[in-house]
Amino acid sequence: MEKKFVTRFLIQSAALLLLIGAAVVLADPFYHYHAPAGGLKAVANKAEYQCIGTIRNFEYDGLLLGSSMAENYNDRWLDEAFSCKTIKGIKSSASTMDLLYYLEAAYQDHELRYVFYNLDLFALSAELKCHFEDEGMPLYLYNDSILDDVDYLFNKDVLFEYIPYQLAVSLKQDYDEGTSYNWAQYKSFSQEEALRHYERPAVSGVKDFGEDERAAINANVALLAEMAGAHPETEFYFFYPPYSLLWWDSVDRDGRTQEYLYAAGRAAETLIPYENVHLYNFLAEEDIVCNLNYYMDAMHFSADVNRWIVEQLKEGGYVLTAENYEEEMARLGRLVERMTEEDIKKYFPEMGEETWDGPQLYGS
Amino acid sequence: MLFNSYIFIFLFLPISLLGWYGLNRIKKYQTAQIFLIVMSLWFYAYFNSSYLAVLLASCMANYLFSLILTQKPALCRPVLIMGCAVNLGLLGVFKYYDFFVENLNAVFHAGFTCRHILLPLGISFFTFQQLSYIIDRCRGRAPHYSLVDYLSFVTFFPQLIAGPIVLHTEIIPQFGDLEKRKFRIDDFAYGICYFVFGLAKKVLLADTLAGAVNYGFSEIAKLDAPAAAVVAVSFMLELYFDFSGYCDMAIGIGRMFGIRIPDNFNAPYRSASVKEFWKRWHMTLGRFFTQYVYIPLGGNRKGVCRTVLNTMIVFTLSGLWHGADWSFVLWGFLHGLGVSVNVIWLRLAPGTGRETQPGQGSFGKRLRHFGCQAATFGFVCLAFVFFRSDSVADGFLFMRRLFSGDSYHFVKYIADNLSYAELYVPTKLISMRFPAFLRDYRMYVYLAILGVSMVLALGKTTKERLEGRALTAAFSWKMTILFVWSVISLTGVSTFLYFNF
Repeated sequence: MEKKFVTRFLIQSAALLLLIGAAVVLADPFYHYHAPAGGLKAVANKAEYQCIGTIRNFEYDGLLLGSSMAENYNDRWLDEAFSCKTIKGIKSSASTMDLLYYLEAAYQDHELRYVFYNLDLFALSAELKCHFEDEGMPLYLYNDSILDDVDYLFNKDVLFEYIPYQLAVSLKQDYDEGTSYNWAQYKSFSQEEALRHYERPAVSGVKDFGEDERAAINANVALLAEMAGAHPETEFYFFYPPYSLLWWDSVDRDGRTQEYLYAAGRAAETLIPYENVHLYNFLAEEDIVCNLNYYMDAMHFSADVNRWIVEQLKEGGYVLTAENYEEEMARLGRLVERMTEEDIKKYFPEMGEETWDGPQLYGS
Repeated sequence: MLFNSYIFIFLFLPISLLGWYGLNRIKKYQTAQIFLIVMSLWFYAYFNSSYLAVLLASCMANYLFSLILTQKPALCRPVLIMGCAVNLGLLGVFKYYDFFVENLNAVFHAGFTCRHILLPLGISFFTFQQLSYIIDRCRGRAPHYSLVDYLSFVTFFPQLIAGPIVLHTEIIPQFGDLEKRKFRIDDFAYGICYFVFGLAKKVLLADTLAGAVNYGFSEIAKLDAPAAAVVAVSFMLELYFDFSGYCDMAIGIGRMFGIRIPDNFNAPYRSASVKEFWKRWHMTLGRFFTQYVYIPLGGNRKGVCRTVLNTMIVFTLSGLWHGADWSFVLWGFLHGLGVSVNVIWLRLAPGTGRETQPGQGSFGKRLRHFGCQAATFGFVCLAFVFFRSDSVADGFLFMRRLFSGDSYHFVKYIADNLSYAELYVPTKLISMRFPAFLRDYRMYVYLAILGVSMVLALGKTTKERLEGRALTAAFSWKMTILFVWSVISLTGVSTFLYFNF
């Protein structure tokens, strides 16, 4: 009886696990093995788990790279503007190395015509490393080992949550695949919301901005330049997103204004000479950055702004050239100075306070 | 390495079993034991190989003490002192150094630096295990074993990192019994069942309850009284399923290898007194403290006052053994008080508390027994709040919230933070069709899980469920489903916080 029990148990368990594994491989909601098949739609709502799979297995010739600042673009906007097929490579708080990891993965099996690169200033001064492991990302989806795929194949959440969700969404006629990783529809964008989510830091004085910091920025920029230089067949559309004046206020109080302005200037100086690089600067667009009604916090803006940025990328507005970038950077410096010294008083009238009791909505 | 991991279940365990039985089958008995030791060291070093040096150094030091006694039996007393000093010193350096320094700094306003040493896995278990051997050796109750036998005893991976705390008399003779080296299908079958039950307890019950417990203890100040009560009960159940599940897995793996590992739990929540609770909870630790601390102190042979004092000493030490923080000491102290009250009660009213067994006697007696069980569970729940709290202050804050009388449905907030993949589809449907009912639904699900867990904790133990049971085809399906459900629950999909720039 015991022998039969052991035999039955082993066979039944192996069969059930194989069945589950096969279901995951077929549906593949994280696109680890293949692009959607059998009428399923590309349902992308979990960037950490799905980006790398889509980059490796989808068909596309345009790649949008960025942090959460880039999540609210609709891929179709770029497709229509540039006559290409775009997917996203997103990682929250992405460093340059994180995004270049995605880009290198894309180049392994794809010929890219366009790279749209959301150039975050904080990423330009980030440490030169990939953060996937440190941040507990699902490395079994990133590495080449098939042994650790068990984490994906035998995964309750995948089986009971992500596969049913993928199936249900695929059945919806009006599902727009271009809305990958979009979250703006679940958020409110207003001055009140932006201020509510803004935790104004205490003034910490000007951070040391010496050779080490410059070297880090230079190294990040050099990586971008190297990538652009290595792929002359690809048009690189780098763009600085428009951070709100609250973000610049936090940067200023943290003593990092000089560092970030240097990063913006350094990247412009280095990247502009490449013929296949187009660099756009939306940092100094006053109508947006000074209007908190576009924001849900200090940096995340509404999808309207995303749409507007795509239009500018297409039309060539706000582009930095060898002739204008120094003046544009100087203008940005003056704007930041004005925002952090004058405009901010509209919301925080008592300047110089180390602590505060929440925003005072003067003028709201 | 954890028992509840893919690498253990699909790679480590099969390799270990194949190697063990393969080598024994060709009569390479010594090699088989060495193979098992090597595998155990891999198991131990999997997370941090630097731990391995501590484990091996500890084994070698204790083995050396035993060797000295073999050659110089007259050195019994110095070896005993040295053995205790080295073992407890090791524990002191790795586990209690920072605790000692922090208290020294607090009392004398000194500025000694903490070392924040990473605690080697299972150090409390293998230290006590070896300490018991050295004490027995000095008492003349244990022989000097071969190095291979000794390392097999200490490092045998099923019990290495979280017990049960086995004695040399239980394990080493089994390694010497060549009959046990033969593959026995009955042992293997029951071993599988123990393992599956343990895995399910840990993965399906303990880990599910942990979500509520972690949230509750991270938001103590916000708890209302009902939520605090629910969280305290959840923690008791989580801890029981976690630890007893681990022990069931250890027992099951042991049986797969033909080695019997002692029970560590015997339905502790059926206890009708705190004293009985400790005869049913972490039994091998209780046995260690009884044999090597309580009895040498005089046990209950020197009057009621001395018995109470000895009890308090043992439980306070037990608290300290569980963790280097005053909250653990207080937890142990409270249990000591509970047991002492039982001791005094039995002295004042001899015969009470013994005559009634569950389900026996008159209705009144049964009712009283049930009352005692409920009171014991309540007391244990309260004491264990300090076990789970990050500090004594947090423990008292929890108590204040528990007895605050406040009620603002905070249980719903706790339930909101729990998710169950198995219920994703119905939950989604309710959120779409009956959004106003969603919070109530989540709360009912949580309370239902708590209720089921309580029934299971009070029901039959794994041993009661398995021993003598016919392993039918229907039962094989139950085990299969439980196993597969547990396996797919080993990992999940994490939520990463956006906007965390």
